[in-house]
Amino acid sequence: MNLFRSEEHARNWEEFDPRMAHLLQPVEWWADTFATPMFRARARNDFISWATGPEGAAAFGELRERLTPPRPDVKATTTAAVALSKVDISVIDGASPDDRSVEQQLFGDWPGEVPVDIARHWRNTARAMIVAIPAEPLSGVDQQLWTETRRSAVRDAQAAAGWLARADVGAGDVRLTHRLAQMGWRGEVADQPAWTAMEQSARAILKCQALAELT
Amino acid sequence: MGEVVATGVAPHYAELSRTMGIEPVRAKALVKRLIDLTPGWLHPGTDWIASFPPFNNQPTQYRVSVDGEQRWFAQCGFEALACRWLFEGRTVTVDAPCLLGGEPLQIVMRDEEIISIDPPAMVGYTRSMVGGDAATRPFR
Repeated sequence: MNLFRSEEHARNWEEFDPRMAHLLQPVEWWADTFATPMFRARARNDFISWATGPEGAAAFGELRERLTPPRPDVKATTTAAVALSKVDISVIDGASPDDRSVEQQLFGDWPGEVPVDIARHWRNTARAMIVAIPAEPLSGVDQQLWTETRRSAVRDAQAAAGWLARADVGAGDVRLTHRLAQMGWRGEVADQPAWTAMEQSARAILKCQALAELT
Repeated sequence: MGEVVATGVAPHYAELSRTMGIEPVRAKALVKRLIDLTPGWLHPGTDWIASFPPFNNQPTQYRVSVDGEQRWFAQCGFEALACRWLFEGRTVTVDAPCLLGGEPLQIVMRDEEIISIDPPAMVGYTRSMVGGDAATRPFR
């Protein structure tokens, strides 16, 4: 939490992290932020009672709201989710992680209004799905059953992508796990590693939303 | 807080116990609770207050002067901006070097008024969430 001579100085700082670029602000903005009730109340003799009571909670909420990243570009992420949902499942289902057909599939019909950086990360997400849900079955699982499960998982990931884009959930949101469970993805067939893979894929999708926030 | 404002130094809990007229063990618990709320931190492995926002007991590059007297250090560049609320009606000056290049920065404030910002293009930035994980607060 540091001060710099200019935006250029801050951006050239070796520890600058573009994921936190929303917290690069003029010093006047930070002066306003540190003028909110949370900071003015420190001189109170009853600070502990105040901070742990409703007024303190409200003040902390006000501070958190001010520091929250800008909301995702819902239009862009929703469009991206729709585009992903239109990908031919057979392309992903049969692809290897380095298969260029996935990229072609995604970029071939990619809506023009979706920023290229987001498109690239959605492509990477699709690849992550391929890696996370391997074509070869885990030991002891019937090949045909595994193929069906894998196909189902890809569909679920696509459905989750659409839902996630609309639901405004965060990568750490427990609703994500609940939603996947509602979709029937309980890992009975695919066992725990696949469940984890599914969850990771969905969370990778959410990282795309985080990227949208920075764009 | 009154002790830090008056002297620039946070008291040890044993000193605080005398000031408050309570047992040292209770003062110690009170300090820990207050530290958790603020967010500040104790020096690792000790009961010494290292940071008590907006101030820092351990010197930092954010030097705070009140009416021209430099006695305080701020926890960070942002908290330096909050020191003014503890010195009502007095002129608070923050002097610090830029982390890139070390050139001087100065902000002068009095209550609600930001009197001067030098250079005017000055910005604040953090790569961590404000008030983030307690375990990493001293290192952010």
